[in-house]
Formats: sequence, C-alpha cells, structure tokens
Amino acid sequence: MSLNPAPPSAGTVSRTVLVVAILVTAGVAVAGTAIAYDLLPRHAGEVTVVDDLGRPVDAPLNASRIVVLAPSIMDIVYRLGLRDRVVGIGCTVGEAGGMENEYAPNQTSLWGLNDSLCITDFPTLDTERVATLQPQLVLASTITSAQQVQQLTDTYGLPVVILAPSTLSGIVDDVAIVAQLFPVAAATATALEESLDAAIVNATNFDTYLSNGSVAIPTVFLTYGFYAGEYYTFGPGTFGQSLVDLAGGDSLSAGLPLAYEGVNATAILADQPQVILFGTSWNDPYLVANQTPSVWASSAPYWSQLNGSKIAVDVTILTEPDPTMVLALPWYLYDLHPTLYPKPSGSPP
Amino acid sequence: MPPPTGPAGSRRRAGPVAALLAVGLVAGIFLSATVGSEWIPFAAVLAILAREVGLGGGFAPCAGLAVAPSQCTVWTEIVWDARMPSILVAVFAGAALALSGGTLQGVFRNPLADPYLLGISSGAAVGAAILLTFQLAVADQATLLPVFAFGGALVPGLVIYAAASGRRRGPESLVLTGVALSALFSAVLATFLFYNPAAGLQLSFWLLGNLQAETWTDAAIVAGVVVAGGTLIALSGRELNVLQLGPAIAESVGVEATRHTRRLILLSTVVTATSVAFTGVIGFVGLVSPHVVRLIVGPDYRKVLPISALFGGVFLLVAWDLALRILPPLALPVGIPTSFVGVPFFLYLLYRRRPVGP
Repeated sequence: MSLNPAPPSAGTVSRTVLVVAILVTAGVAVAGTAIAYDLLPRHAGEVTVVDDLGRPVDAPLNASRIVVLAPSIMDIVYRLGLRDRVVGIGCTVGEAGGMENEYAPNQTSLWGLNDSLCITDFPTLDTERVATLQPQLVLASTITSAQQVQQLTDTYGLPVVILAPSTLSGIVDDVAIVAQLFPVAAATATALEESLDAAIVNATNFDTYLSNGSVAIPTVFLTYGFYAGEYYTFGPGTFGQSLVDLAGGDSLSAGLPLAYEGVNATAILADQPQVILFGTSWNDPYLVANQTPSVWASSAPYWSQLNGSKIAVDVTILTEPDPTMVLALPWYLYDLHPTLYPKPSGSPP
Repeated sequence: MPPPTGPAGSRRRAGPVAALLAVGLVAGIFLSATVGSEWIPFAAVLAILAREVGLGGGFAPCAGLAVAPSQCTVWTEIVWDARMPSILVAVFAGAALALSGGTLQGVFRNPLADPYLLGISSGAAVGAAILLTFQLAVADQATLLPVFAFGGALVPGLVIYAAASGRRRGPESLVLTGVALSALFSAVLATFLFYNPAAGLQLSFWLLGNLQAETWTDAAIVAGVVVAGGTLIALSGRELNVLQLGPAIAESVGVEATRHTRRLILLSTVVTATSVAFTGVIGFVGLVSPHVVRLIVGPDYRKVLPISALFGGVFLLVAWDLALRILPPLALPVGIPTSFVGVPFFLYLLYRRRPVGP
C-alpha cells in the first residue's frame, strides 16, 4: 500500500467553482422568491399610496394607532387633526432630553408630546418598541435606515410610508398622501393643501415679477450648522434649494455635488453671499450650545468677514420640510427682498 | 514527515471542547432569544421557541400572564421573526469568519491572516459605501446593500485567487497582495466618507457590524452558504496540515499545493463575502477564533477548523448579546464588543501559555 494518497483529480477546481456557482445561484433564488412574495397583492379594503421613495404601500384607512418618526411629519399629522392617533414618536437617545433634541419646546407643547411616547430612533430605530406599540401605520422619513424599514414591513407586517419631500411642492404632495390614508381628515387636508398651494403660487408669482424686471436676484447661502471648519447646507435636489428658489434667491449651494454636505468656510468667504440664512435656536439644549446668533458670531469660521445680510431663522422652520416651512414663505420673501415684498403681519407660523 | 497534529493532551481535549462549544451554542441560541430592547418573560420566550420549532401546540407563550392576545402575537414576532434571524446570522457569520480566518492562516502560513487583513472585508465595505455614499436606488437599498457588499468582497478574494495561480507566488506575496488591496480599499472608503460625510453615520454602523435588521431570508442565505462552503473547507483539514510543511513536501505526498490553495481561497472568500454582506464588517472574530482553538486543541487543522467554526459562532453570539445589553435600547455595532471582549481574552490566552502554530 502506498503511503502517498492518491493525487486529487484534475476536476477538483472546476467542481469547486461549480459548487460556488450553485451556492450563489441558490442565494439569489431564495432572495428572488422572497422579493416576489413581497410583491403579491395584500388584503383588500386597504388603500395603496405611493410614498416619496416611489414605493407602493398598502395601509389601512384611518389607522387608529400611528407612529411618527420625524417632526416634519408630526406637523402634518397635527394640522390634520390626527394627533390623538399618535402612539409613538421618534426620539434621540444617548443624550439628556432625547425628545427635546428632536422636538423644539414650542412643538412639544403645541403638539402635546411627552417622553412616554418616545421610541429611540437615532442612531438606529428601536424596532421592537415600534412593534410593541402595535401601530397600524408608521410614517417615517429617510432618516430611518432602509434595512429597518424593511424589518418593520417584512417582520412585523407594518405599513411604513416614507415622507421625505425634496421640494416645497412635495410637502403639499405629502399632505395629500396623508389625506389618502385618512379620509376622515379629507376636508382639513383640502383646506391645508389650498393654503399651502396659495403660499407657493404667491411666491412663484413674485419670482416671476423678479425675473421679468430689472431687480437683482440676491445670492443666498443657507446654513444650518458648522462643524470642522465647514458650513453645512442643502445642495441640489433638496427642499432647502426649493425654499431659496421660491423665496427669490440665487442659491450658492445649487452647484454642489451632493444634497447634504459641508462647504469649506474659505469658499463661502470667496463667494461673499449677499444673504446668509442661518439656523438658530434658543431652546433646544444641544442647539443652544451650538446655534445662537452669538455662537455663530463667535465660532463660525470667517463669520465677521461675511459682509452679506445675516438673517437668523428658527432652525425648525429652516430644516424641517413641513407645512410650517411653506407657510413661512412670505417671511422668507420679505427677508430676501425687504424693499420689494411687504412685511408680513404677525410672527412666522 | 508527519503533518502537525499537536501534543497528545491537546488531541484528547478536542472532543470535550467541541462538545462543550456545541452545548454552549445551543444554550446560547435559546438564551439570546431573551435579549432585546423589549422585556419578554423568559418562560414566554421558551414557549414561543418550543412552539415555533414544532415541539407542539401545547406551549402557550402567554399562559398565566396578564397580556392581551395581540401583545402575545407581537412577542412571537419579536422573538421568532426578529431576534431568531439575527441570532442565526450571528452564529453562521461567526462560524464563517472563524473558518475563513483559520483557513487563510493555514494557506498563507501566516498567523495574522484573516478576511480583514486580506481585504475581503474592506472590499465589502467599499461595495456598501458605493451604494450609501451616492444614494443609489434609495427605495431598494435594503435589498441591494448585501448585493453590493458581496460584490465588493469578491473583488479582493478573486484577485488573490488569480494571483495564487502563479506557481512562483509564495504565501508572502499573496498576503502582501491582500494587504495592499486592503490599504487601497481603505483609501477609497475614506475618500467616499470625505465626499459625503452625511452618509458616514449609516456607513459607520455598517462598518462596525450590525445584526439588528436580519430576516429569515438573510439567515437562510447565510446558513446555506456557510454550511455548504464551510463543510468543504472543514473537510480540507488534512490538506491544510500537509501544506504547513511547504509546497514541495506537499506535492511529494500527493497534495497539489496550488490547486488546494486556490480552492481554499475561493471557498473562504465566498463564505466570508456572504456573511459580511449581511452583517457588515466584523473584525477580530476571524483572527482570534482559530488562535484560541489552536491554543486549546493543538495545530491539527482537522480539529482546528470545525472547532473554530463552533467557537466563532459562540463568540459572535455572545458579542451580539453584549451589544444589545450595554446601552439599551440602543443596539451597538457588534464589532465593538468583539474587540473589547476578544482582545483581552486573546491576550490572556496568548501570554498564559506558549502559543502553538500555525
């Protein structure tokens, strides 16, 4: 008997490749089957809406228990009279005052929010908590990761509608989506859509007037924070751009490669925007330490050398794409064109 | 010359160690089902598991508990449809990383070899980063993320596989190829993060490993590939033992070094890529598990590989439990506890006794 084992046959490698190919094919097949299962029609009697990611979502009409995972969506829900149906809201944890870091005090008092509603949603969503609340509908933004949206949908069978508008008109569309889900609020939604449309039409008409005349369009830089020497802003394809456009400004961020990014302070200094819209807060514990006019003046790079008009805007109005932002359009128009646009009465919504 | 088999004491320990790990793994799977952000009574968890694995409908999860039937249904979904897939992915991914690490250490005869060092994990990270940084197919990201990560992981593995074809390519060259690719992918990743810092948070969670949103489909794919590929790897222990003697001696006893090297690199790449695609990058498991097992049972790869798989499964499962318990209700990236727990444990074993092999 030979001590040497028989040499492997010449086909060893090809067999291995074959096994690997079969494994990969099997994996793809399993995944494909799962996807196909997801595409099967669901229960009758539900409404199907197409959310802001273009996904068709089947959801029950007039859900009595809803989870809301973004303040901008809460604004819509509240304005449509659906607050009583909210059983959970997204809150940040890891810092003192998880709710206060996502909701401004005026929002928590107006909307009747408290810590008992909190679901940890940052940096990751506590999906078990969402499931335990047994909602019939989850309204989320793109802050919630795609994997966790999939888990809510596939594992817990919860309909998740993503509301993440990229324009101010998209905010009106989101109101319409929520109205589709809640026919009970149809009349309120129609009235809200009309007022939002009116604000947008008014701004559009003013923009047309500006473009037809000899009025110079001011260059605008919108920033909601600074970090590591960079000003953070809204790039192309965002509601922030839409806001500046409708307010009659020429956004310096329009040519950025990404939707949300920081701009080097020296670049802003070189551009010398004529108007700087910057986010502020006097209430939020985190933002107080980072975003007040005095903090901007003392800490934002080259702040004193920026010669344009510096206009402080409540960060919740500046960064949350909701009906409040649209209804604040007259104030933005006045801020950018104080000699042309009449000063609105009262205070911003 | 006989291949390395280790001292007799080590050989005798293999059976009990394997049995202990197997029992620990099964117990760990059941115990891990009780860990999560929502508190569910232990008895209810066990009853849910017993009923779902087919031990009979007599198990009433909420019998004697003052909870509504709908709440009981949610508990079943949490335990069976959310926690169990994550647990199984942890077990099989841990096994895959440990098997892959042990195999690559043997193939390259280098104690530092593991999927991370050779760029397989970095390749997966770049694949995921492409999807997240450039916000491609946002509506289908959950489905596409594993696909992109898998594709990225295959790139360095296949490059090393191709490089291994050359007969004059020694293990050192292959390891250095992997190290160079890993460095390249790290630079690409850093560029992506610099390009789009806003994607950094989601990406950083993925880069440190996340088992939070696994599904039964994920678990089935990972388990299928790891069981099939891992079995082929584990059955190659004899060839790996012979390869430790060098390619010339291996050839003289009928083991075709190049052929087996390429085959094992390919299998290791596929099982690692599949795991990393669903878990994100999890460091240390692939490096440490084979070393720990080798310290206990000796250098014989016929024992090291299957026992490493068991050890890796237990290790990642424990790490996942810790990730859920450290800052509840947050689920930490699982790569954090693997390093915090694994490094001290590894150093303790390393300095407690003289290391063996590979």
